[in-house]
Amino acid sequence: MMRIIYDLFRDGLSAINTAADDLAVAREQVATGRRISRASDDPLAVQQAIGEHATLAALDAYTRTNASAASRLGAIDNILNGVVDKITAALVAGSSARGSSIDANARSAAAAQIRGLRDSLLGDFNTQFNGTYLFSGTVAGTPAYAQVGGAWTYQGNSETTGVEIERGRVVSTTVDGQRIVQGSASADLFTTLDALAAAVEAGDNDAIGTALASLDDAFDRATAAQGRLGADESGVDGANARLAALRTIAETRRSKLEDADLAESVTRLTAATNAYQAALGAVSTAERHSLLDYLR
Amino acid sequence: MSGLFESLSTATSALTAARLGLDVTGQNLANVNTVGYSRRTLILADQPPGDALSPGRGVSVVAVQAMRDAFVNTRLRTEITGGAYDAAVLDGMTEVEAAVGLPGESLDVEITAFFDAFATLAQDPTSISAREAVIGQGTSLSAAFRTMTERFTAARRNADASIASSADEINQLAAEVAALNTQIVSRGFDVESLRDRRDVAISRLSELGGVTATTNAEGGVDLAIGSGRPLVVSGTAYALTTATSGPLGLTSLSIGGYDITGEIAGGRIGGLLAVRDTLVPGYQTSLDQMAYDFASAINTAHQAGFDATGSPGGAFFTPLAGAAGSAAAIDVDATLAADSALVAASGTGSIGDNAAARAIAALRDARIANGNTATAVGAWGQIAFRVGSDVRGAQASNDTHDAVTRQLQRLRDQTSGVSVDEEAANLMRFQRSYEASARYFTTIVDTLDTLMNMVR
Repeated sequence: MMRIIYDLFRDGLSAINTAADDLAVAREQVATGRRISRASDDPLAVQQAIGEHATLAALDAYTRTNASAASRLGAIDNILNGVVDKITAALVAGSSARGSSIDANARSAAAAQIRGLRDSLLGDFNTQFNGTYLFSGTVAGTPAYAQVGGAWTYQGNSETTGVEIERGRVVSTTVDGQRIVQGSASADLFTTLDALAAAVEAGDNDAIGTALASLDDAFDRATAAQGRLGADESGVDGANARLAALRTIAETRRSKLEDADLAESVTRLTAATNAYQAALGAVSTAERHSLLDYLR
Repeated sequence: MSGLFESLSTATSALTAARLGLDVTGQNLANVNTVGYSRRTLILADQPPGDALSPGRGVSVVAVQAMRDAFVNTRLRTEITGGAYDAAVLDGMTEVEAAVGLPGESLDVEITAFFDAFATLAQDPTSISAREAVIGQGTSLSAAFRTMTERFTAARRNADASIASSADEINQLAAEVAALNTQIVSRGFDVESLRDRRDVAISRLSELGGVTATTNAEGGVDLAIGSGRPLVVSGTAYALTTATSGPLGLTSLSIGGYDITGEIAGGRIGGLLAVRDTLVPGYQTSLDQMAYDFASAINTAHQAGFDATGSPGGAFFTPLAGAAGSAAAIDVDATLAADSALVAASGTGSIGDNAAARAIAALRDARIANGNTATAVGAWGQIAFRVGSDVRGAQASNDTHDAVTRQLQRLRDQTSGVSVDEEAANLMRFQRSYEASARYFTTIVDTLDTLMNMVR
């Protein structure tokens, strides 16, 4: 005959402890909304979640870089718009001063306007953004153009500062100013404007024509730079959209790994509460009766 | 042919047996909650008749026997040893697991923030605040590596402290078993309570150090620890001695002049030794390798760049001699930490170039750790996985040991446990037996009176 001994501490309390553990886990999941509260809860999910957090951080870093790049590209775009407008204004001023019917006062006024536009363009190409010169290539601490020994001199270089806006995609946040101001031409924009102003003052129509042709080339270079910039700005917008989509996907993966399913957790909490109460009830009644109660 | 006076003797023996039965039942009920108590049973035998026409001469009490199952007790001790090992591993690993933390809340965040700082510097390589931020994050990451190392070391020290105190308890228990052996062998009788106490002590020794027990010819129990090193032989206990060694002053255990630290693979001490000497050092080695790989990769990329003065970049982290101890030693180079202009962000020497900063930021996705098989964060993920799975494995093993131990305890109770219902039945049985024997006695006395009256 098998002797069955019920031990309150061994059998009863272990059942209560097991139910209490389950209840604590269910409560923690509902309270925190997290499925994992320590590495041993699901080691593989923890390892994967660490990777997902790193992925999210990388995407966020790209997003921050994009925001910074977008503001720089926006500033450059704004400046290039002004450059194109000012070259156009110089072309108009030069063209209107060409011909034999223009009097000296008008030519003088046109020359002054052209020199004003030159100074304004110089200011444009020497614009700083957060302390760095945008049109000096990577010589970020030096203005792009200055007059050195009576000649307009490019002080930057032909390199640009590139930032990675998404994995493998780099856009330039500084510009090689010389590529716009001079390109492959023999004279830079400022020298051309100086020559144009002098030709207008002198009423030298041939020289005006030569200068206007050079200005046309400068206009083309500026609009080409706008085109390149537009492609980069468009690239940033596209990258932002892709980064947002990738972030959503990574966040979904992370959530599946780490977050508790609330409906499931609440159901589990209810079940665990019932199991705990049942264990308490079962143990409290287990040793209430024995044969001693029936002995007279 | 027996006489009436012999019948009185028969009645007396029956009354004595019934009273002893009640005493045994009382003893069992009194010890229903005594740990290690083995229930007692009264062994009775009828007294054979003196001649052919006699039914017998009553009952004799042969023994008060303690009910034990040696096989179950041995199995139980084995399971207790295994369970204690797992419980000790779980105890020791609790703070390691807490130190490792959760995804996005531990060393991985510091690594990510370090790469973020270089990505920010790449946005504006001339920014002094971005340069300072890079140094700040490098310092913070170095501190995180060192803190993790300190936590691992603290876990080893805590396990070590428990080993020393457990060794003290083993010595006390071994001395107790030796003393009980002496008493049991010398007294020879009425020793069941001493055996119970000895069983409890041996159980606790199994829990602490995974001892093996052998009953010797004299009735004593010899105990061995480690690879069969004698701990108790009859009435002699051999002391487990402790000594400290190494830079951490960790405890080693010796018995009889032999270092048995590496031999104890079971029980609480075995689990604590596993935490102290195998598991945590394993994580530490991985963390050291990770810190070394990380610092080396960053230094290589940094030295390929140029600082704000246009000079070639130096080491970002203080160069490490080797992987061992790297997590405790890693730190931003002191000269660089004092002058953010020495941060190499440029790839060409131009102050506005950011190629070096971009190259370092891009290392977040590069397999720079563990023999170029894992990213820096991936290497940390591997450590977190190992810690989690070791704890989970110990938990699962502990649960199994608990279940088997409970089952074996039930089996032990089938033989040795006190059942209140059963003792209540015995109480009634011996009470009725005593009443019946008393009636028999008075009947014989009355019969003797009748006989006496016949001769008056």
